[in-house]
Amino acid sequence: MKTSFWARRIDTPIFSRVSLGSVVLTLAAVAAIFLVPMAIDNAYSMRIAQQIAFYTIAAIGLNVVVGYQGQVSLGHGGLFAVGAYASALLATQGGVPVWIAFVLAAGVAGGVGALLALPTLRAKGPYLAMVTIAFSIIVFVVAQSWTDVTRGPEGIKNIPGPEWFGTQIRQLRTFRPFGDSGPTISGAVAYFWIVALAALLVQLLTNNLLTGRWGRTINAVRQSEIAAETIGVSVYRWKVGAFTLSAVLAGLSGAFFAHQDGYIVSDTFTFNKSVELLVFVILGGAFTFNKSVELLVFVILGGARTLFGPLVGSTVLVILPEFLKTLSEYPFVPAWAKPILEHYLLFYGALLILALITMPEGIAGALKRLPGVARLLPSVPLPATRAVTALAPSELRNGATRPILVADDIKMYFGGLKAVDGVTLDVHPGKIQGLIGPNGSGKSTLVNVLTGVYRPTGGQVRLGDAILDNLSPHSIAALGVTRTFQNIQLFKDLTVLENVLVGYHLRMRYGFVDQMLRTRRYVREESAYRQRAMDLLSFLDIAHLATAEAQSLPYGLQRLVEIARALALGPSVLILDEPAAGINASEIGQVSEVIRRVRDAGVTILVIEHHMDLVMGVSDHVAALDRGQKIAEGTPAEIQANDRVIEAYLGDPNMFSLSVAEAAEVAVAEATEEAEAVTHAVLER
Amino acid sequence: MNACSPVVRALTLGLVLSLTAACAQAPAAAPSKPAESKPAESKPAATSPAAAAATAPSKPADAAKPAAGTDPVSCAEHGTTGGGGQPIKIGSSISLTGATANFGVNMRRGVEICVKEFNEAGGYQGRQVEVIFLDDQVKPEIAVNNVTRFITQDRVIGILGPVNSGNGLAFRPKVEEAEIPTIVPIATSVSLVYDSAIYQEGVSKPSPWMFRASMQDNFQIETILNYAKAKNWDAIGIMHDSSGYGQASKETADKLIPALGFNILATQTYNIGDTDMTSQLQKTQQAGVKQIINFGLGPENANLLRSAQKINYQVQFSGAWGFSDPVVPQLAGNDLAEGVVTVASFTNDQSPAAADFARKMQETYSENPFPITAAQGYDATKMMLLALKSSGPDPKKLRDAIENLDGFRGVTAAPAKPFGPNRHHSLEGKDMFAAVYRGGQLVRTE
Amino acid sequence: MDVGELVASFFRVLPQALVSGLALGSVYALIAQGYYVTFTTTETLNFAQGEFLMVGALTSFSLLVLAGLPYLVAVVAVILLMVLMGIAVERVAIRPLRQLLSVGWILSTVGVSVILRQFAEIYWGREQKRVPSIFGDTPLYIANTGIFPQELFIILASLLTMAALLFFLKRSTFGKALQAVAFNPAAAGLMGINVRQMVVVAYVISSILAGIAGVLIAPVIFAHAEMGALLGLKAFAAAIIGGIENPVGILVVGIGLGIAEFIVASYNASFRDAVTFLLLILILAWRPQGLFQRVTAEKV
Repeated sequence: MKTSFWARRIDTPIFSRVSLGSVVLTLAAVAAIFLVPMAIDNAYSMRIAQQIAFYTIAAIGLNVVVGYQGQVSLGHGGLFAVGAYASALLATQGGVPVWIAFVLAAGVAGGVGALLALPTLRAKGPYLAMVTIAFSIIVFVVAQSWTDVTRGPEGIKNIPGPEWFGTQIRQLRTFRPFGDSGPTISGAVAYFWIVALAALLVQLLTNNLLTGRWGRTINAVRQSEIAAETIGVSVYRWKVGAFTLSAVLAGLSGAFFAHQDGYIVSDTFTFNKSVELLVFVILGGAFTFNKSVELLVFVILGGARTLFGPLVGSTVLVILPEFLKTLSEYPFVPAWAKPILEHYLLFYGALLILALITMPEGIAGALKRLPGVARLLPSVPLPATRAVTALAPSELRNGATRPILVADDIKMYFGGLKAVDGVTLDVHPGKIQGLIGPNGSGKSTLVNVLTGVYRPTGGQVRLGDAILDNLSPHSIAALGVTRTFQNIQLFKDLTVLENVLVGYHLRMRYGFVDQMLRTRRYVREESAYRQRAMDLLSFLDIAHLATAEAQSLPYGLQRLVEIARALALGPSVLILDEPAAGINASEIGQVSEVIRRVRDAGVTILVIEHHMDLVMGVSDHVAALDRGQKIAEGTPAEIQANDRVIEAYLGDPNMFSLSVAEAAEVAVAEATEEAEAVTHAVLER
Repeated sequence: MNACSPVVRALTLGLVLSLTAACAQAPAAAPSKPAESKPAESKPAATSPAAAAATAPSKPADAAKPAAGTDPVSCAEHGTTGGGGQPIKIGSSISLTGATANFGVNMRRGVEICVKEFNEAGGYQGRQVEVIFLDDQVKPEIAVNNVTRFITQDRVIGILGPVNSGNGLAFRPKVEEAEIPTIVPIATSVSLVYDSAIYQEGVSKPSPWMFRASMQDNFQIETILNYAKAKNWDAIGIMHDSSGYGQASKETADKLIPALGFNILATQTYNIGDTDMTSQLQKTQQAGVKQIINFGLGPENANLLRSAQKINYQVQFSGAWGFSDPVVPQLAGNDLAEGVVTVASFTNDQSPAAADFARKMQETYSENPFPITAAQGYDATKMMLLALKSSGPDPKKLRDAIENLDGFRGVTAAPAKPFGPNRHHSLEGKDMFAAVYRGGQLVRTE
Repeated sequence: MDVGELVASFFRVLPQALVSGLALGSVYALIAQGYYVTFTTTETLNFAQGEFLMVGALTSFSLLVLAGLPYLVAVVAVILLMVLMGIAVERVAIRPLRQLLSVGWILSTVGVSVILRQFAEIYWGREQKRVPSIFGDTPLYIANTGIFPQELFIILASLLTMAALLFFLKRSTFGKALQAVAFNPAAAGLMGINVRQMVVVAYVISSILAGIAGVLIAPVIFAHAEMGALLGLKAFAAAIIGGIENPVGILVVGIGLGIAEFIVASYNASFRDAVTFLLLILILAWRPQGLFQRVTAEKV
């Protein structure tokens, strides 16, 4: 592939491997920020431009939580207020220089965000929405009532503007920023420079985060928390982290707001503020369940994937009320239309719904889908593939004769229902252990206990010497036990390659700052893991699918991707929960072959299955469950001949060769039954 | 999802269309009780029983009658003919929607009448004056947007506004930076015009650019407290809302009360939007309060009256001018509003000029639901136009002219020399008076 | 103030708080049952429920005060309007967005609430409206505790409505079908229940509840465009605290919140709203699924 001039990459210490086009366009953006306002020095326009800039910062932050992480926060208005008050108080009461107050205020808001997130982020969906609503209302009441500090509805006056080499910037006062011979500009322009540059910086840094590992991980968490857990992502920590980052940005935005007019008052921070912020984001295109919001922005940053949705949204929505106000002054507007034009929130609401329905990816996403734009979007070349034979790094495997994974007298009761009642199971290293059982026998429950999804009522799970049964799934994953799911849990919107890269989550060593600044270390490590991911895919014969979106694949291939993702973790034990569920006969052969290949590469496997052809074909050793108890154990041949097993399967030997369709049906029935059991159970976790 | 998109679009379109249609009918569908205020001519008759009902001796303040002559007051007085030219612009950032919309909408009418009279008399040397009204939606940041626009785009010579003190506090730095004189027709907070939250004569310094034609909080409170003193109220409780207005008023009252020798039996608060204050009123009732002095806004005040009725609490309500919002008798009913005492600078019956102004409002708008706000809007505009007549359309000269105004004649109780170098409020305690509801109308107490 | 005095004053305030709180709380409960009906059926709910209440209240103002129609006619008209609005909100804001996790419908219904509030401001204006009660506006007194006849009617009517709702859900074939959809939409679909239709029905029921609440409360708190926002949120808080799939929990918590508000207000009115929401955060931190909600595990 021939690289064009503009796509040529530069090896800089930070923003490493940035394309030449990006650099040029970023510089152009900086130049525009500086020069355009000097040409049109109009304090009114500048004020609007400042608002666009600082709302963009908040919107970028909210985008992280709502767009990428999929949690609805209706409380960012509260965090915005916290930032505004923190900065105003630091500057007026604390005498802190405004530049430092900006940073500290962002930190304070981040702290408050983390404090809010820590206890409440276990709640989801409407519960979380309610928590955040409650938070923003409480912030309002505190701002209103704690008058000794916040001055309440009387407001904090005379908040200083930042100093420009000794001159305080005030919106309508003019000064000469570049010495006595330089041009005269108004404070509004100078303040715009500050806010716009901050917005640009925030945009670039979050772009790095969101298009790198960080964005990949929170995307994964949004799409399947449980799958993310089982490959070692501490979902809760990542959620709190994303919320905190977003709180920091909301706080920074609030600080810029406070110093804009030099006056803040509690009445500003009603619940509506949160809704307004949210609309900025949605319309702008945070709402992407697709790979996020790269847009024509590529044109600006020529190579990186960027997410200018929040900017687009803030721009449209800050200008809208002013536009409507101006519009209503024209004589051609009929009198009855004026009250409508005065209610700009009406338009926000309508745009919100329209945007959600007609372009769930927002304006930015819709622009991206315009003909021709897709061609402009960059693609990172895939590394060449190599042949791979050995996979697991497991030390336990070598020469170990004792069982690697032990389930010792496991009991799992849901209220009165004994789903698993005293099952003991040993999994030997380097072997494929099969686990069979009729519908409702407790197989899936046992898997959930082994992987930490359920905490057992009794018994113990051990991996070598480590005791697993009080650990969360991600800690168990870190120790080397991972799984696939009966109903496939891929990160649907990510590509196959990205799915596997999330699997390397625990192995990647570079830190948050490396990601944000995109250091050489980050680029080096990331490309190394891309190589390893490709190797893994080629090991499973699916390297050609690397750039395909996971959800676009047929079921059987999705199953392989799920296995690849689990292998990326480098597990000692891989648990396959009904790998044949829902796939067709021809694919079953492929899956069986892959299971053996993985075993041969050194990974111990526990396979839970209905499909007798598959489980009897691959297993070295099989255990059978019925009604929550182990009824038989032995080689596949012994199990097939075992009377109790045959009896358990309704005395129908045909069950041993269930058709795929039947197997699927049974699986659905079991899933339903167990869901029912669980629904009625009280699980104190 | 794409399959249902046409339906969705059709529904959305339908929604938009029905909205549009609904709004076209809105004026017809929501008439706002035009018959509420009766023609001014019938007022003097209505006053007599009220005067008779008032038992206490009249306050000395009442002696200072407004300086209204026999001629009707009109802004036409200040118009001058001449060569003409570009219109002169004045900006007005007020709340036309939101909680205090009643104040803004009715104030705008007063301003419009004045400007119309002025322009018909020639304007400023033949140049028309144009007032640009922008709604601030009771949001400080929007008020600042509006004022910034006035200053940088519309190049106004002066500003009339705001309705809410908070919004004015937000934009005050802007008018100071840009040096544009502002006359406040409605908002009452001391700190909007002066450098302190508590007004002390001769000590508080006014902002050079802020002037007030409204009833400053401390004078309102002084007026109502003097009224209480005159009436020998002996079991007073204070209630206020938790807004900036309510809190600041309460602080001011706390400062003034000791000198008057009152004993306050209870203090209770409520929030904007509260609909049932029975809990708070029970506390004052238990404390033995017989007279409540209240600092709150219209709808909450109406709810306060209803809550008192609900717990069968016979108490004399009084307060700052929040009670004069016409929603109080509208919502609570004339029966509950009967006898409630409030502070005013204007009632339709207070002077011939006032009666004449009330007539003009009624003729122009066929209703006059909130006379005092219209009157203060009218007077604020008249002050600016009178100053303009002598200074010309230059903001700095206009400011000086406003500060040195003399021979002003207004429809409210504002004096002939409303301002001075250290005094930027036109109405003092002696210009205000207590007004009481009689049959749903506010009449001056004697 | 010593403790004895504090306790004594508490008991002096209590009867009135109980009476007023019961009326307000039963309105919370009524609105919140609407959240319950749609959430169990579809795992979605209408964040514009408070605004539906507001539209119901203001429509009753138009019909009773402006048009002078009889009370029953107005009630029926409001219910019919709510049926239409319920269908519309499901069609516009819920159905197209159900695939998109919870973010979609939360945001779209928040959008609906913004639109309705603005629409009401344009159509009815910002002023508060007095809607006279058919039972008159003179309070009744029991000892020193006063209650508006309308408040008695609210308590009675909302309890009856809720009883009828629960009876309908548990006993009628239709209600059972609704429950089946709630329990397992796929299975219900296989059994021949029209799941889509049931979802619409759930939204219609929820809207009607909000509309009735609006008609009931309008004479007590004055009708205006902003009246629904806080009522809807507090009802939602009641639903969340009570456990959104537990109608009895919702009733108990709704009424409890109503009473608590009045007691808090007698000490410090500023904290009246804050207390509800602080309580909510604490309870959700302790039990993310609400107070009376059984915790369920996700099936994987």
